[in-house]
Amino acid sequence: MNAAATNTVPEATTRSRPPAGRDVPLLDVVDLHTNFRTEHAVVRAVDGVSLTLEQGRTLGVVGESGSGKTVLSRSIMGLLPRRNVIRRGQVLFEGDDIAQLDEERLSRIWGARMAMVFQDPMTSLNPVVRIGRQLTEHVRLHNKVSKAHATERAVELLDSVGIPEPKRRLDEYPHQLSGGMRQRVMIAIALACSPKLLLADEPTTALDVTVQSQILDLLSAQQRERDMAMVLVTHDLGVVAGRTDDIAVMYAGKIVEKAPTRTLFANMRMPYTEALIQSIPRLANPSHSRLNVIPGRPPDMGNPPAGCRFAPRCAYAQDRCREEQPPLVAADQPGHAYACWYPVGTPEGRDALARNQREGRVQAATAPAAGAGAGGTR
Amino acid sequence: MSAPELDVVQFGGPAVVIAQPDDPGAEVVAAKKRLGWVFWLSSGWVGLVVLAAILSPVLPLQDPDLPQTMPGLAPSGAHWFGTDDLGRDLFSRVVHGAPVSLIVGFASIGLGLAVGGTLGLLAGYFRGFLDQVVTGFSNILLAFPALVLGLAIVTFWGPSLLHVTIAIAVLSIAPLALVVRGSTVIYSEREFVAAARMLGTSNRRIIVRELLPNVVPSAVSLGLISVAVAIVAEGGLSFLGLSVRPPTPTWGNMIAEGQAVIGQHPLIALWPGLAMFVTVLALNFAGDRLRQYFDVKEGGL
Amino acid sequence: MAGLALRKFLLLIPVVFIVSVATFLLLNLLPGNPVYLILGPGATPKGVAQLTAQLHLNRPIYDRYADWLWAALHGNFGESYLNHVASSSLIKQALPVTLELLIYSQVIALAVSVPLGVYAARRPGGWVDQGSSSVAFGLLAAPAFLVGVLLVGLFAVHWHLFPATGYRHLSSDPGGNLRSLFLPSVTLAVGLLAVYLRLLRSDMIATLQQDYITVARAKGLRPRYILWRHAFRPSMFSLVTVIGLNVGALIGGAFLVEVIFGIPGIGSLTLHSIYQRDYLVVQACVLIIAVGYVLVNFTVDLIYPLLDPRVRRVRS
Repeated sequence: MNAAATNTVPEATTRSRPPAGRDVPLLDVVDLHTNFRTEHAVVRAVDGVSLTLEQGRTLGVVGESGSGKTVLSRSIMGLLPRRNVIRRGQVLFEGDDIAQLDEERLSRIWGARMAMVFQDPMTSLNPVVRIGRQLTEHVRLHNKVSKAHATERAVELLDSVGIPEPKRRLDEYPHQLSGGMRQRVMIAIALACSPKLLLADEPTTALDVTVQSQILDLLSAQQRERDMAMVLVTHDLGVVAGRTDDIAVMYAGKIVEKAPTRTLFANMRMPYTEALIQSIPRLANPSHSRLNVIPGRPPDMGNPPAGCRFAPRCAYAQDRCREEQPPLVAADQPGHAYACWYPVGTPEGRDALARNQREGRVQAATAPAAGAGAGGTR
Repeated sequence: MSAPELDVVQFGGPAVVIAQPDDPGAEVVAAKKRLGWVFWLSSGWVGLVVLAAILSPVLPLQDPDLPQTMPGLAPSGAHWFGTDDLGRDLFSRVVHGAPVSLIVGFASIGLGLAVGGTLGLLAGYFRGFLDQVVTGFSNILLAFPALVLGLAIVTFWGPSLLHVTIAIAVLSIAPLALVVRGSTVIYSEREFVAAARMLGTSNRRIIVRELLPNVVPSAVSLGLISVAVAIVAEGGLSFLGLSVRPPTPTWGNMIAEGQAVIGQHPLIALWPGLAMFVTVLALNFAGDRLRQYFDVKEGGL
Repeated sequence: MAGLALRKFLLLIPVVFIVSVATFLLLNLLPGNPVYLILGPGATPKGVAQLTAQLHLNRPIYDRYADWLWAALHGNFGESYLNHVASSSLIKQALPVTLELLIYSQVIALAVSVPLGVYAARRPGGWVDQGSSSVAFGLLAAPAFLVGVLLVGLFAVHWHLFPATGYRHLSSDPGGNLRSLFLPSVTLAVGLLAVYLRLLRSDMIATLQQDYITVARAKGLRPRYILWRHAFRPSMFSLVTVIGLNVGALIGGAFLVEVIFGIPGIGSLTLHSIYQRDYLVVQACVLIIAVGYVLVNFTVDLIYPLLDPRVRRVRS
């Protein structure tokens, strides 16, 4: 059971609640749109995203800053500002559409069945409240347990996330802990009520590289132990490479490719995915190799271009790309979908690339995925 | 009133800023360069009061010191504000009370800014020992509760317009110096000052040409708000009978007179109170608006 | 923590000393001979000489200061030349009254401004917010004596709800005490309210935009809980600072209020001594007030680390 493949972009379809007893995905996002109303325009941060996640599985959501991935995770949870935000679509969590719920009812789910780990551990903890209370307050609220019981649980939790001297930490304040430790505390807070779904929004971006892999390993271990589903949002493909079951690549508010992890790396179709993979620096490369970057910037989501949103930066782009937006279509392997007119690894794609190179729209040859390609486009 | 409120939504994507209006006369968009109708209305009022004060000797008003008719009359065509408890025309008295408040207000702060502002400017630019001395003295002066000191000064020196003005001026030096100093420090650390220094410009030129034009606008808005405070201070002192002597009307001593008969003839205290309140309010609005106007320009840089 | 308090206390002593010197100098170096002020137009050369000697005014200033300091450290602040009561006992009677007034007004001001400020921040731009902000701005312009006079007119004379003047002791008549101090405290509270409200509101709004508040929401905590138990505490700091800073203005206001309402506090004492030219009493009062002000600021300074754990360690 993988992330569901769709043959076409679902228009505003709604899924009705399946009969009891059938296997229901834990999370089913249907055509989610999140728009922000600003002075100048309406910014379409999440522009029609659909995905599903089964219990116990991990989905990686990868994209640059500005791709809308953080807004997506918050939209799924419903953790958006009250004013000037418009959200459309369904978010079916354990079969119920939580996109329709008001904050009063959502707050019963938050922390208890669905939890989030935030990006910046330095600002995510209240500096004037002790760690102990920050760990136990929601446990006592959701589970109605005594303070003593909750405190015991807190000590166990801190221990399980690898914090030494957990009892002492309960009385300490956040500023007394290092960044890595604080993030562990954040994870403990998120896991405290044993949620079914964990949304991890760039959990390691603000941390030292050495600490990053520890934290990610911790997350994976906890997930396995608790049979918890996880959505791991990041801009770094390296982070999701070995740790996710499926990956969804986001660009400019849309999902442009999704596939099981191995399939994505072996058989990517969308040029953006290819470019992302190529931009991962490799230890094996000789020193002073140029870093591959994707030139240009993501589009202004208040005024997105017609046609494929990646076209201005794409090495394979043709006229059709600039005029018509490609829909998400299924690829040969199960669970794999992509949105491209001239996909990588297909004859049309190769021709398109060659055409662009001939016409001088590409500065140097862009080698296919595996190698260390040089230079960029245009 | 603070600047228009900003509702910032920031999600690791583009920061989306939505401005909310919270302030009469302020526009919806944050970076607005107009002073607004509130400013002009307030300045207009202050100007009117100043004009009335200056012209008061020659205006066709009834004699403020002589009883004209029955005490405690209600407002009428002959006496626009009615009469006070001695039968004197209230409107005329309120108008004649304006000069004292305004003179003390503006003169004391003018003096305070001249001395304190200069000290602050020099301390903020030259830093070092001068800065420590000025800041130290200012903090010590600020360790005294102001009214008590002003009271003591005026008592032992004798109440008069001059003494009150100087007392308030002296009390204003410390806070004004500290604020001007703070502002100067910020500007002194900017590149254009460093550039001028590198070109070998003399200190005097830098201060006059570069710093002063930047510090003056915020000093002016600070000054306006301080004048409001000074007017209230003088009002308090004259309420206690420690400012200009009766029968010269001041808004403060008129309120004191009105206090005795507040039950039967509330207007006697109310008119001068209203005049003072509106003037102080106008000065606050004008000073505050001016500060926002110059702050926003700052932000543009 | 104790180390910090000790250091600050040691710093206090020179400040108090300087304040006492400055007060003394100020009052004694002003132009105008206090002897003539006291004796008035009927001064005879003999009377002048006698009073001058009595007040030690013929001795050099530093001698006079030394004498005075010595006496002060023994609790002797001279005596009222009018009724020969020791200044210190006059002050002892008057000071608690003023203290009660000041505390009462702070309580009223905080009781109104804190809930209003917190709820205004919750819905910025809503009617609670706009209404209270406008009123606050207006109140800032209202001088204390004006407010006091108006309150007397309205609530005491017109409606007979509270006494216009007079004071009842706390020990003998607690209910009457609170009633008699109510209007004066409200008068003072009005000015404080305006400042506290604006400050708290803007601090709360800034705090509510912090990441940790979003995290608190994401834990499923209820909005009221988040407001008071997560957002209020970090927003208090400026308020606490301002409470300390405002004590100086508050004292001035207390003077006026005591006069308007006939409260026998230290403000009344000082003023009546001024009117009666009771020079030594005035000097003693001014000194006590100045020193008290310094002490209050010192106390507020100490409270800071109690509230903000980040400030507790001098070096971590």
